[in-house]
Amino acid sequence: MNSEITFLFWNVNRRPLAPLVAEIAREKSVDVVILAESDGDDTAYIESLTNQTGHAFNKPYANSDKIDVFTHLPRDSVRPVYDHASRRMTVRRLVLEKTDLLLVALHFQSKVNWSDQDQAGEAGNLCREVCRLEDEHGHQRTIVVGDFNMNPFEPGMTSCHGFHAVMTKAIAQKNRRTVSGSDYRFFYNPSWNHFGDRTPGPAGTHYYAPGKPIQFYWNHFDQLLLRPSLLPYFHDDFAVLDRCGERSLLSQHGQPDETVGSDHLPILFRLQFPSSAETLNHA
Amino acid sequence: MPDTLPDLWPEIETENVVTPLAILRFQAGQLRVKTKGLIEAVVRTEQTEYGWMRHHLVLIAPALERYEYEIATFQHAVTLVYPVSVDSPTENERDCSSQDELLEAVSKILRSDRVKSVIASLIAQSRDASQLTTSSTAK
Repeated sequence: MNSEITFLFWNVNRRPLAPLVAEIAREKSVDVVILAESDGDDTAYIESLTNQTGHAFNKPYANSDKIDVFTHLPRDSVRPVYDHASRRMTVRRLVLEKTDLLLVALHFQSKVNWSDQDQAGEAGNLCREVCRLEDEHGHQRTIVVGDFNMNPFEPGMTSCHGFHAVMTKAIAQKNRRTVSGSDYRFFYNPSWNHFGDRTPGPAGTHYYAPGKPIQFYWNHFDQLLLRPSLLPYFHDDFAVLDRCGERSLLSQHGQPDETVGSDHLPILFRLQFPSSAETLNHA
Repeated sequence: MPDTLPDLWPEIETENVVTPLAILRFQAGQLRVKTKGLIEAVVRTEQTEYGWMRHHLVLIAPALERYEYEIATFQHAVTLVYPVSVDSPTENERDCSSQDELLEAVSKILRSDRVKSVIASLIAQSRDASQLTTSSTAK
């Protein structure tokens, strides 16, 4: 028997989506809700989540302005670790029955204001901070989730000076690599599996089509990164959600419908930890 | 050649030159005293790949498992202590070209409503956490 923990991340684009988020939380048995660009109405979220799911949701203490975390886990299970006054990143310690994790949630600077090079540089700064916190906590059971405002193939996501997130578990399981004499830890990025038409869900999480020569249309800005030590507990349970019950989050053109949801689609992922009778691999 | 050549150097301050790191460390050291040990501040320094020194001014709440709140980042060239680039939401990003400008910027940051409110909240949360620990130990 396994114990599961289910996470929902959504950039809600400052829309009053508490009822919809709560409906998804009930439908998908979500334990931890992480929001970027919330409208700031924490009470509406806590009430909707609690009423819909039947679990008493709370907002654990932290000082993150750009990211909100709600959970029905005991308040003490989601502890503040690190916040930055201007960086759009919050780090929490998730204390579960048999293990604890570092949960890093972020909303990266937009391409409207920052160039790809700006983003790549900042990705390196954030990743160094994550490595420092991992060293202080003595483990690398780290989840990074959020709106990166970069696609999985961009330098900020792939470079060893950035998040260093790779597309296959096999590569990530090498744990690290050495470049020019320095060691860099890998992340696994399951979003690579969710591009284009041959995926169970939509082709990305965000649709954007300005008239410029290179255009991807669909972007996978909303991503999950896992350190290799969490891969034994991740069974490809990652989805881009395009419906909530009978309601589609997409317009008739198949793009995120802001009249129903947000300009981003939510992502859902689940980790399964062994029961107390088994031993966790605390790599 | 004339008997005396002119000294072409400008007046050079030798007594009161203080590096950004010294300024930040001094301010950090004051917080523990001001909050009766409830909140600490540290300066974390790193050298980046591209020849920059970066100092992070960080609040730490010992009672909250050493939760960290980073107030601002200060960056300057390894070889030059000024100008210093300051990155903080209260100051946006600005370059301080002298010690006086840096002192003014740091003062604005430390006295900002945001920092005051975070410190107040950290003190309250720390007191709660300490009381919980005390009451659970008493059981």
